[in-house]
Order: sequence, then C-alpha cells, then structure tokens
Amino acid sequence: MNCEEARELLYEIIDKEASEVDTRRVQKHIDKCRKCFDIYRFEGAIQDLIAEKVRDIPPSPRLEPLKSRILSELDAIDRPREARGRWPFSPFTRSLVAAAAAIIVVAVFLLGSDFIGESESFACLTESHRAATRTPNAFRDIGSTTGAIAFGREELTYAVAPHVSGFRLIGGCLEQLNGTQVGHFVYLDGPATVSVFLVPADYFEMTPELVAGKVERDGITYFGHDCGGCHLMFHRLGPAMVVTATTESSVDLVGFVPGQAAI
Amino acid sequence: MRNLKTGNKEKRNNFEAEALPHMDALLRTALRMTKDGSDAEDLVQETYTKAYRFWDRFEPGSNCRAWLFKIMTNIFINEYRSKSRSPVVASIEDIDDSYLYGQLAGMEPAENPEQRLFAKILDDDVRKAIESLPDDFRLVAVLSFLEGFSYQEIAEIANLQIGTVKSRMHRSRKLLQKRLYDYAVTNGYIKEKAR
Repeated sequence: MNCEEARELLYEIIDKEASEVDTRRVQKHIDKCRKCFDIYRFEGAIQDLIAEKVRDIPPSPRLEPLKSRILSELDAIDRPREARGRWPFSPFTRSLVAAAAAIIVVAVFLLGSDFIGESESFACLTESHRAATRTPNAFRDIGSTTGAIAFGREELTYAVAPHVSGFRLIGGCLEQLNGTQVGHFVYLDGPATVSVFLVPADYFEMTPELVAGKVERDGITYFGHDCGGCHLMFHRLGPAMVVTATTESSVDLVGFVPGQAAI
Repeated sequence: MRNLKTGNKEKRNNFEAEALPHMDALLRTALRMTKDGSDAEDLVQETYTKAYRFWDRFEPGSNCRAWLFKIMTNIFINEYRSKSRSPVVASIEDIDDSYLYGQLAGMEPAENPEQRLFAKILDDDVRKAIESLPDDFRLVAVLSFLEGFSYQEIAEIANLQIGTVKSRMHRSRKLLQKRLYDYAVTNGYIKEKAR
C-alpha cells in the first residue's frame, strides 16, 4: 500500500467502516510511514474531539415538558374516532377505512371548506396531470414514501407505494388547486404517466354523474370518470379522496390507490 | 374477535416501552438540525405522533431508534429544511483534505501540533461549526458524530446512497475543519499560517 491509498481510506478507517483487510493493510503502512501515521493520529484526535464535544451536551430542560406533551398527544390519538369528529360521508366509507387502516392512518377533524363545482374540480385535476406528463422532472424530489398532508385543520398521514406494476414513483409535491391544497404524486413507466392526488374529500360533491361511474373491485368501491381524454378514478379514504389520473387507457388505476396493493 | 380496547392498551404500552426511551437522542439531534428550541420540540412531537400512528408497521425486534430517526429525518427534510441551498457547497472543493493538519503542520510544538489548539477549542466552537454546515451535510454529520450511526444506517435513515453518505461526511469534515481553524484564528488560539 502506498501513501495515496492509505489517505483514501483515512475516514473509512476512522469511522470504523473499512474492511478488516483494508484496516490491516493501512496499519502495516502507517507502522512504516511517519507522515501517514501523523495524519491518521491527527484526524483521529479531531474526530474524538468533535464527537466528545457534541455528545457532551447536558440533557435539554425541554425534555420533560415535551414528554408530557407527547403523552397527551398519544392520548388524543387513542380516543375513539367518534369522539373527535364525524364521518360526513356515505356508509361504504367505514368498511373501506377498516380495510385501509393498516396502511393509511388518518386523523380527522371537521372541515369547513366549500364545495366546488364538479366539472371545475375535474378539469383542474386533469390539467395538473397533463402538466406532470409534460414536465415529470418537476417531481424528481421526494423525501420519502410516507408523510402527512394538512388539509386545513385536518391531517392525512399517507403511505404511497414506490413501485406499482412496472411504474416507478418519481416524486410528489403539494399543489394548490382552486385554492385547495392537494398532494400530487407521479408515477412513470417510460412515457406513460400516472398521477395520484390526495384531495380533501369535500373538495367534491358526489354528483349523480360520479356515482354513475361506480365500480366494485375486490369488495372496494371506486368511481370512474372520463374528463377530456383523461381517465380519473376516485376512491374515498377517510377524510380524503384519492384520485388517480392517466391518459393511458390501458393502465389499471386500482393498484395506484395507496394501500390497495398491500391489502 | 380481538377486544379493541385491550389491543389499544397493548399497543400503547409497547410503544411507550420501545419508542419513548429514544426521546432524549431525538431531541438533541432535532436541536442541532433545526437550531431552534421550539422547532426541535415540534419536530420530535410530530415524529412521535407519526410513529404511533404507524406503529403497526414497526417490526418488533428491529432497530427502533433508527426507525424513529428515519421518521424524524423525513419530516425534517420535507418541512423544516431551509429551501435555499447554501452557496458554501461550491467552495468546499477548494478546501484541501486534512485541512487542519495542513494548517497546523510546522507549528510549535512540532510533535503534536494539535494539542494546544484542542485544549482551547470550546464546546461552543464545535457546536457553532456544526450548525454552520448546510442542512444536507449537517444531517449526515449529526447522525454520525452525535448519534454514532453507521454509513449504512445513515443511508437508510436519510434515504441516500451509501456513496452519497460517504461524500457528504467527507465534505462535512472539510467544512468543520475549516470553520474550527477560522474560529481558532479569530479567537487568537493560534496564529494564522503565513501564506
């Protein structure tokens, strides 16, 4: 081993991440090379200094008050749902939520926003999906496949699948549609694009038109709707409506509904 | 049918026993990451409520601490990370490897040139140096230096490739060393090396 190789491995050795073989080879080298020995000793000492100084922070006085805050927050989650809100929607919701509870956990508060005319809200979603199809790169940055979206005073905790039958989740973002905050996730498979929207349920009215598109799959209810060459599928999930959208007629949108793939 | 109430109680007890003991570690990391006491508390609280809601996804016997840090890191990245990227990132390449060593080499005493410097560096200098790191680097540095997570664990927690973890650690070190040197010169712990 020469000096250059030994320096390459410097931080891996210090962080105890190097293999046993490399560690032994470096040891052999620094036993003979004064300069490398000095650098290893020096960097090791700095590492110890930094670690010691950062770890040597007294426990925060904030810890105890925070702990009681968290415990009462957990109490609030444990309280039965009925006590905290009501389901403003139809009876099929309950069984759906029960089925999806393992995957999607939802905190419900009452919402106060107004309904928006259905055609307007459909067009908004279609337009947003088309924009995502044109510039999927705008969605490249996703921190994780789980998260929470605040809909006014309510919060939806979601988990989306990274892969769905050949499609790959490339990203997600929060968008304003008609002044309502919605989550928008984008899946790609070559040029084919699927959008998954998480929308506050009362963004839509259950119009006769939407009800007419009702389909049952594996005991779960979806509502399909075509809007200007774009296929939309609606699925009620607690306080949210999951809307999947694609212009690819061959794509089965059911699998993209968060949670469904795992059920 | 399983009694729902008993089920909840059991879940709550499990959660408290497994997850709550890590609050201290989560809070200290949150403090370093957000650089603000009340943001740090909010971040930890959000981490615990989310962890509780997703508790059925935690695999018993797996590393609960890493799991909680992963949840917290996701929330931090999505909600707290400053939106603007720090311009400092571009200048890192100008900093030599083993920067401090290079600066101190040739100083008296020749034997262990760092000893005088290290004796003077304060906790506060190190804290400030870490807080001055750009968010992405600080996250990796704190998880490693403060929490002792391995590269592999950090990669999983922060959803990064292991190579990215390594390079961010390397760059964090360069920046930290440069900052510590600058503090040492500014505060008169050492004289600036003649150029």
